[in-house]
Amino acid sequence: MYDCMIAFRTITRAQRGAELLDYSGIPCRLQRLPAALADRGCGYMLALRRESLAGAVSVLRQNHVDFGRLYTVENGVHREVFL
Amino acid sequence: MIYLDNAATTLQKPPQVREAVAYALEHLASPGRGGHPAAMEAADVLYRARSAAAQLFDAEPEQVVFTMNATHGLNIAIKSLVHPGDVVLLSGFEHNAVLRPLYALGAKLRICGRRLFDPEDTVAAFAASLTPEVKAVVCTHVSNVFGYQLPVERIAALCRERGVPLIVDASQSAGLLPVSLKGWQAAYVAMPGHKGLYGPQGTGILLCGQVPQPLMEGGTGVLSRQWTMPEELPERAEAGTHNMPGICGLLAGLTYLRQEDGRTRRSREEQLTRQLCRGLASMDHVRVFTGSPQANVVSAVLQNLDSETAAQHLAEEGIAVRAGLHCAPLAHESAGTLEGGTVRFSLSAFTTETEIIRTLEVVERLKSFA
Repeated sequence: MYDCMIAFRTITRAQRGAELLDYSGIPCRLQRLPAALADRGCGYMLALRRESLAGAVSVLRQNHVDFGRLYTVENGVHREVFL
Repeated sequence: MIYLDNAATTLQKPPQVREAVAYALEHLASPGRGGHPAAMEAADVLYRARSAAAQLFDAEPEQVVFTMNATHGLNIAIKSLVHPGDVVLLSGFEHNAVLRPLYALGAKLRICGRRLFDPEDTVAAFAASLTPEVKAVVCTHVSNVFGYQLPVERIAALCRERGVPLIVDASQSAGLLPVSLKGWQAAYVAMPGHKGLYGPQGTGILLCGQVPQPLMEGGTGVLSRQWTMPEELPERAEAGTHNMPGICGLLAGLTYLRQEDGRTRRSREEQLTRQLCRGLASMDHVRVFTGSPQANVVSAVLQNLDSETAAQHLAEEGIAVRAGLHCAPLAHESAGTLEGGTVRFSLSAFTTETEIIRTLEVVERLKSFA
């Protein structure tokens, strides 16, 4: 059950992120960004487990992959989190 | 048919390319345009094709932009770097895919390095001509007419030293010779998918060392409320729906290249090219353009037949070659063959020794034609 998400500006960035997380053994899934969070129009995100979030962010930063906001998802409600 | 027109298009493809195109037609929707399985699978194929190309050409996946062909990529590159009146330095072996966009822009062309098969002269000419007013350098890696391998690595080093952006046309080299975006630190490297990468026609790749200006604006599937194209690569340069059957086939071609031993394949093509050159050079009625380093492209002039008539006779004997100017009048001007053009023989991984022997026999027989 994925309860966290990392937003990306483009699908290719999200795919690059997914590839790097996969290499690092962090499970994630590429999905469309919920409309409520896509303030500039359509976007993509990686869904993952909350316990993986800090590790995932670290992998992305180390590899210079830009990402957008981070969210937790609980009962369908998205809350932005900061790391 | 003996197919020796691979410098135009490799007609013989690995069978998995055809299978991949058929698969895409049935299963792949628009990548980045939806979250349903057919769109997500298309997005996955698109990214795998970027990654495969990035691995082969020493780049990052985001630096791989899919284009319609090399001409499309060269237009993006040239129109990103060159403005009207800019001085642009180019080799004497450039294709019209380079010359026409530069002419249309009103660039001032400085042409250098016009001696065939003389890399020392080419490097010296670039070094002498690369003065501070030059805004960009464009150089083909391999002449599409003569197969001359230009010393791109050394020209790239000159450009780096002098801080001038370099555009490489890798139309004839991609898939055959090492091509490295990072190693050359080129601004752009353009290539077709349908030649040495064994993909379908309508595909191409532009490797981007810099973020280009979009040649077209349109939908990208992301950031849709923006009135402008995304700043990020590759989306910035990929407006509109992708050619997924083509890209899926291109991925199969790239996978074929990765599975094959590149050095062995290259060495086999080099051996057959040398055999063809030796055979042609031994005929009194043939002038063959050969030297070192030469890729798998060979041009010849038959003293008794114009190039189009010679190619027609070869076609009647079941041998496909290309005659004329090969869309590269500058290269013919450099070699002194602008008036009649040449007959061009170009090989691929699927060319056999038997085919070379048969071709030489037919060219020998053409001696009797007037």
